[in-house]
Amino acid sequence: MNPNGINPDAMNPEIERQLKITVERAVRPLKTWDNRKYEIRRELLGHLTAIYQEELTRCGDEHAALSVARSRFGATEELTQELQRGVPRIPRWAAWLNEVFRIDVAISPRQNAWRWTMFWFCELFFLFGACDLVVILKGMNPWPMIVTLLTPLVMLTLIAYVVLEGTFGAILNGSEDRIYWRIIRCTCYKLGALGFIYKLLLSSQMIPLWERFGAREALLVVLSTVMLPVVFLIVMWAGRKEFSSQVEWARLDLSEE
Amino acid sequence: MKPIAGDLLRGHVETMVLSVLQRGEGHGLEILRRLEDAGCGLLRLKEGSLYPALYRLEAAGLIIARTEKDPAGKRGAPRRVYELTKKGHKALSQARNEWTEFVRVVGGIVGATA
Repeated sequence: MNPNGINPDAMNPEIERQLKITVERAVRPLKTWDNRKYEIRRELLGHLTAIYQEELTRCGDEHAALSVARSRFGATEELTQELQRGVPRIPRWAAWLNEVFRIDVAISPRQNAWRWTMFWFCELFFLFGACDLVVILKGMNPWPMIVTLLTPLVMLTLIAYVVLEGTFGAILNGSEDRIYWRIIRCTCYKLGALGFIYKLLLSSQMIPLWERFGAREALLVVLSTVMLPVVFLIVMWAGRKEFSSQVEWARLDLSEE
Repeated sequence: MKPIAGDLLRGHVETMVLSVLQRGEGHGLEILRRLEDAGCGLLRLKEGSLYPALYRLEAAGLIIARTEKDPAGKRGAPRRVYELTKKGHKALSQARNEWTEFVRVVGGIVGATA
């Protein structure tokens, strides 16, 4: 307790949010891996919180302490530039690709699920189309057995990714009231898109799945199908803290003063 | 005496960090306090700007960071504690020689009376 009766260790939630906004202003524009951004956020927030508590102990006024802590911390734009200068080339390119192709789990708050799905569909369409083109131009004939075995796995992996992305996209979209409908809608749109792409690949005879679909392949599909929800749950469980923390950071409105 | 801040410090922060880390490992706030103490209150470093320097040094392999599992009595995220590597010791020694040479040459010019 300081002389004004404020306990610096018991943080006011509004002040905590303001400190996070200051950190997020510096970190959100960074072009690097999401995990790295998460580490930087944690470290900067730890430092800013420590100087805020130091100032609060000194002056006893929460708002004055926040203002001095921000001033001691420095301008966030300059900090972003300095941090960006230290980001190696590969994470910078990866972040750029991520922005272009939106491989990220995030869905922008203004984007609706339909437009988001269409965007994702176009991405996949061009991606598969490009692979198709390379194989046709090179006159290659993929080994049918390998293709047959791998296809269900690839498809299931893609579906798992779709479900994950749809789930977190919906969470980040911040629409708690209809969140389950949104997840179902996103997933259905995307599964439809995947089905269409798969059909295209079959008709172009890139995947002669039904010619070689025997008991072994069927077993593989069943096992993969059983494994899918298990893997999905493990991923969700292992990353639950980071996912929820990232959602919290992503929801901060940086236009606030 | 006027405080030393901004552009005057630019380019020297990394060497100064290496130098204070030679005295022993430390986390961000501790490094900053050591810098301020060593600067006799005349160093005015924006505290956030320490971290880009730390990350650059880490990327260059001059320092390594480990996460302190249980920061004694502190709330919030675990802190990262930085430590000089062998390469960092070598780089510091080289930077000191360069600095001595710089002060000798530039000091001889700037400090000379007409």
